[in-house]
Amino acid sequence: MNRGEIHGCIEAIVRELYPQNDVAISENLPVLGPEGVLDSVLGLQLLLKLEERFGIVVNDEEIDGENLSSLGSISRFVARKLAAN
Amino acid sequence: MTRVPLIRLCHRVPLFMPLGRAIPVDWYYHWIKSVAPLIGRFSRHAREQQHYIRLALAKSHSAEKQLDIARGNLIYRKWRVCLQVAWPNVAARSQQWVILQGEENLARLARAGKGAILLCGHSFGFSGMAVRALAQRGYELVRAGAGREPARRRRAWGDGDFQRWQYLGYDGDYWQRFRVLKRMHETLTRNAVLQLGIRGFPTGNPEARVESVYGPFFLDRKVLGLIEVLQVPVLPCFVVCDQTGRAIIKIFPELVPSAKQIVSGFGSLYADYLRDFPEHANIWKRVVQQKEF
Repeated sequence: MNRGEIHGCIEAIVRELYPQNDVAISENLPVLGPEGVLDSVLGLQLLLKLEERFGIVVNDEEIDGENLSSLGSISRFVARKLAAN
Repeated sequence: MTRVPLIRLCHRVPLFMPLGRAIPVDWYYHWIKSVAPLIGRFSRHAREQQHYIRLALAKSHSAEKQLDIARGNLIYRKWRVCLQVAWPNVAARSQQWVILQGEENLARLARAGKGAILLCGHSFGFSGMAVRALAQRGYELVRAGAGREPARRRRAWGDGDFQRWQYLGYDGDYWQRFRVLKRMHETLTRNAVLQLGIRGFPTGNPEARVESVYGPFFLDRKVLGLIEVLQVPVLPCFVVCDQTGRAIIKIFPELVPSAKQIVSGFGSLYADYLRDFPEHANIWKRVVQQKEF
């Protein structure tokens, strides 16, 4: 799976969860975190969907702003996880 | 923590602990009932609680009944501390101190192997006793909350008890709370039981509205949302004390993990418990102040 496909999958999941899904989802849109558009419960749903869709396990220490704050950072994180598997 | 010297002497001082175990639970309870009015007379906090109870129940109860409930609330709050202090000494023979009803509902889910959520009212009854009594019965329990840090909990409940169950505190920044939510999910995937307390709000989404004799309240939408994400059966659980001081832990049949089911099923049980055991609710000040409880 290439970066573009990963990005597309994640964008589709975020669009499904994002309450105002008519708004454009850009690369830098804060998805999770204090400024994120998803609250922590929807964030958990996103994380579980990522684990299920990509067959990855997100560890405790990986849950932070660097890996999960925006659509772009989530895509890069998932790509790194897939490459490591 | 409130001082309860006799109970502390009997259950925490090694020389007296065998004696503490031998004394029936109702003796302690009657002692607390007899000293509570004295505490109520001299404690500013007790008088304040009484004031808020009377304000909150002014429309639904007579003045005499309000006083009864305020007195019952004081006894219950003192007794709750006593149960906590005594627990390390009596846990092994807890059936004398705790009555567990509806355990078959939990056992059935444990056999199914998919975990369960034990849902309690956030500020109602002695829900902390449920995790300890169930852990004593061999279930793997995890309690989530924003309360005191583990070190203080250890001091309050005793070290031995603390080893039998796990506490997930979601105090901290956004990412820490997020990690705790993830851990809750992991807990359930290994077939443990997760205890959650749900708050009531004075306003909210009409879909979360619960009718009670004191007026409507609204269940916490975030907890309802979390339950829907976790997707495991929910067991309503309430803990009150009987006339002898024993904690009655009642586990009700499972509810489907949907917000609608929880609001109707759990909400109506919660309203019934608030009506039947108002003295077991630590909500009255916040009800008067129109805050969440």
